[in-house]
Amino acid sequence: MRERMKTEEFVARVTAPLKEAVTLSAGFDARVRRAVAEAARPWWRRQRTFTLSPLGSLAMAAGLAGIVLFSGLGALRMFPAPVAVVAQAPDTVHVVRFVFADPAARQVSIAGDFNGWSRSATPLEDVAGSGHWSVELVLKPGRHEYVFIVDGERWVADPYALRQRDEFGQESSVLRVGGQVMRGA
Amino acid sequence: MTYRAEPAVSEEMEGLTDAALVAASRRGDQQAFAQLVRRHRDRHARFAARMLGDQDEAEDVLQSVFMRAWRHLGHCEDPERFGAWLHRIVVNECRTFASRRGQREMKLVRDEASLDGLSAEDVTRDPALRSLIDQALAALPTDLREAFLLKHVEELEYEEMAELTGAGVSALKMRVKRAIERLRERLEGVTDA
Repeated sequence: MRERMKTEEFVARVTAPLKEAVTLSAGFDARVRRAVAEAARPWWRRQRTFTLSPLGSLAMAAGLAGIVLFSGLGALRMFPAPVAVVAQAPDTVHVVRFVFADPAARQVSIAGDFNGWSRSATPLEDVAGSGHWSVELVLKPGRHEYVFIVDGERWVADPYALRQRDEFGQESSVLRVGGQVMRGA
Repeated sequence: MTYRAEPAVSEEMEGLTDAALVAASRRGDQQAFAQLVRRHRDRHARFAARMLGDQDEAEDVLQSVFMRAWRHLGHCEDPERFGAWLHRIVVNECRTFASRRGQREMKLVRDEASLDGLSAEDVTRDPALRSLIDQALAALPTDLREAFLLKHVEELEYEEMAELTGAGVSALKMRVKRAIERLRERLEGVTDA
């Protein structure tokens, strides 16, 4: 009986701090909403990467040229004017440098559709200790939404990028990276 | 410009049952799902944080949990018990993440502090003692840590634990017992209660 009481007392002491409530960061709900919104998009509107070999690129370009030719004959007019589709080179990469200035910040990270709106996956570095935080990311071509998260709590839109506001009034930044170039022939 | 994320959820949403919110979410209503997130996130945050020993990782895992829930709402057979269904996903995600990461290298510094003669409240207030306990907990194998937390922190019954984990009651009792033994070994000298 005495041993059992000792165990109960030990467990009570050990678990006392573990039972304290854990408060999620202020941006948690917004990150989940963003991720859900991304997942809820139709598949053709999600961010996707298609890696093509040079031969595959040629085949795709030939296929697209066929579609354009077909539409040009009037059977299926997809575009208001004849267009040429320039398939992106398969080895093209887009390195984007994100910069955020806040000398008072203790830590800065970036959350966006490219990292599942993770708060911790992509930290920025203040190499010089001057409050200029930066990170370089390789991004897929297309439209990207993101925010900076300061000190794990504050959700900050990029002051130098386009912004959008969701139905809850939450603002985020929008960046368009590379992608297929469509231009008039 | 800085914003604090505090989504405005309508009072109508707040009054809906889990089953109604699940039904709406299945129809694609993201605001209904946001209300489910708000309703259930906090109760699972503590378990995830204790299981993983890191709040940032816990938040990422919890986010992943809700994404899995969103994608697989159709598999929630009893929407009235959405909370229990979600809890199973939390346990599985934490277990998977913890196992993938592997056990952390623990460097337990003995004689740094002592629990002797201190109350549970004293332990809670002392950062050094809390750190010792966190380290001892993190050093446990995943299955033992999971069982200990579910039993003694989340205060579940063994039958509930069995439903969540898929393990038998006897096995869970053994895991809890072994977890306590290992914690005592780790904290020996500072927990001579």
